[in-house]
Amino acid sequence: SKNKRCSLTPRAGNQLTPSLPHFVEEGEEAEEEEEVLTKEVEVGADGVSAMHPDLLELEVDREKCRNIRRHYRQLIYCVQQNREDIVRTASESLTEALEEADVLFDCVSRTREAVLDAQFLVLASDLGKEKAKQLNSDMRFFNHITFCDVLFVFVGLNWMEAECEEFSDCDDSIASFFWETVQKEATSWMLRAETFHYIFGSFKAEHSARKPRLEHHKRSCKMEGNGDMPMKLKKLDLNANQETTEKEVERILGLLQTYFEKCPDVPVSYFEFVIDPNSFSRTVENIFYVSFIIRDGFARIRLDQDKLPILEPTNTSQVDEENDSCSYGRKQGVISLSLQDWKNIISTFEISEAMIKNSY
Amino acid sequence: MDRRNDYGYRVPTFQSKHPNGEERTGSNYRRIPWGRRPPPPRDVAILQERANKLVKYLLVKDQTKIPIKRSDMLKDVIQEYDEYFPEIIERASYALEKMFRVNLKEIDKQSSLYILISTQESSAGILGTTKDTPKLGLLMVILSVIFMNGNKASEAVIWEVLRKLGLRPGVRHSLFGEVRKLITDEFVKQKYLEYKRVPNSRPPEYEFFWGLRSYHETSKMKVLKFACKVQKKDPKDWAAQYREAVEMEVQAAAVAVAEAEARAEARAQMGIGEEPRYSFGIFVHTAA
Repeated sequence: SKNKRCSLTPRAGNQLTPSLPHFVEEGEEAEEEEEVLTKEVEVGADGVSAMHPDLLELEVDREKCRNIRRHYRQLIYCVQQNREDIVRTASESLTEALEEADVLFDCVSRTREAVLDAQFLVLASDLGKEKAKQLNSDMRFFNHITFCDVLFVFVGLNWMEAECEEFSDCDDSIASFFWETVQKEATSWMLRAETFHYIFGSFKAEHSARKPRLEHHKRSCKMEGNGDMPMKLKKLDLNANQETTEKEVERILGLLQTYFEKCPDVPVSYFEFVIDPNSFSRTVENIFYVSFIIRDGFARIRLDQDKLPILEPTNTSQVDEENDSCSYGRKQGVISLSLQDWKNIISTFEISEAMIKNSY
Repeated sequence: MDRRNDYGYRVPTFQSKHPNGEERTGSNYRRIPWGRRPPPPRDVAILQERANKLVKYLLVKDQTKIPIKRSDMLKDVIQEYDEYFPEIIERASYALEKMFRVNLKEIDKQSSLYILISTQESSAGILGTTKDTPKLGLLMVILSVIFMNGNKASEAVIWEVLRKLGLRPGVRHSLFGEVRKLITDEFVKQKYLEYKRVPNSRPPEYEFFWGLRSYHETSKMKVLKFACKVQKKDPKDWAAQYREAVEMEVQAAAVAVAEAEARAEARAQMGIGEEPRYSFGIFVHTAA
């Protein structure tokens, strides 16, 4: 009969890894087989199954020890298999195992068995430590299965009404309802940031062939997290904006020229022209579009006697003014506008409505 | 190529400009190692411009909820201004707070990983359901089980819970898809959960822990309150968990105070805190 080969790999959490006993066990098994062999040889050689009485006594001893070792190993194996049970529940199984080991130890007289006893003690004390830890920390055992039942109640699922016995058999709509309710509750306990998505690229002032662009955008959206994404979006942006910008610039130029025609000698205050008192973002867009008008030479901007910028048409003949310190050629200017500046300008200039009306 | 004359040209999204006006794409920069270049001078306008780009970059990268690496930020946006990374990221962080109500947090100082979290609790609870899959609900259940169980839960325990809730490994769920992939892969990549092998387990067994993101987006106290609300219990009924949660709150509060102080000091030093400015170039054409 072969001894049960129990694996001595330590279970989860068992920090003490006795590697020595493992070797010992291997050696033992080999030795035992040897012993069995010699016994057989002895019997064979004699022809009769009688042995020398001294040898017989030795043999009985060896058998006893083998039994003890077998018992120890069984005990250790059992305890390891039931580890979870021993630690978690209030069962007496650990105490019982210790008592059993005690009884076994009474018969132990040789080192080999004592080693196994020590091994068992190591295991038992480890488990004892875990049990004690749980006791001290005053941790009531959280029953995860009960938690699920309680969840159903919390969501409002009445098992009487539902036609299914188990949640997994339930209708899809019930499952949806359950998870949506849980989701609603969960999000109120989390600080997850909303993800930001561009809708269709930048804001478009007019309807246009959206379909092909939407596909582009969807494709690029799928590459989330890919470093390439920013480049692709930029390409899309350009395509979308080219015509819009041109159209807007033309439209605003038209407005400006209309104004110049109506009041030919009155220059337009730059701020009064670009500022939309109702929308900071529209103001910023207006500034952007006007900059193209100026760059292309359809209007020019200069500072008047109060050092405030004004817009003038460029097709009227220019006479060098003494105040005009600008020389021939292009000049680059930067206008910086914050929310507060915008508000200040509106109140200072008493701007009540935008000169550049929206086209939509 | 000077693109400023193109009508289609807008504020460039992720292309960077060299201070002397030349424009180069990211690929050119890789040929010349940044270490050998002299660092460009400190120009607040350019730093702010990079910060604004970084804001957009972060918002887009955050869509997957996978934490963003500092190295990616440096490579894709900061580029030659890597010396000024602390200032650029502080400016970006300020803009994100003020304009998008989002905090930029470094969750892993060793690997330099960043996430965005909301500055206030979502009002989704009040507003009603969203169209997204209810992943947070599932996550919250898992986080509860892990915490109440002593900050870790074996895979076996988690699947017992999930099965009870109608989710099975290998079976495609109508709402969550492949649940096993969701909890062991997606949530792990997003750092909501950690999935680790039990040491020396043969055959290998695994257990779940809270991930770094979970510690920032929620807290032990919040999860305890959720679990107790569900059970109609008082959090104090779970004495051990309550003690742990309180301890974490105290620690987190101390850290938050220290961080806020450091941030305020840094911002004062860098001159961050004036309102965001929009700057445009205007070409003035004068004729004689």
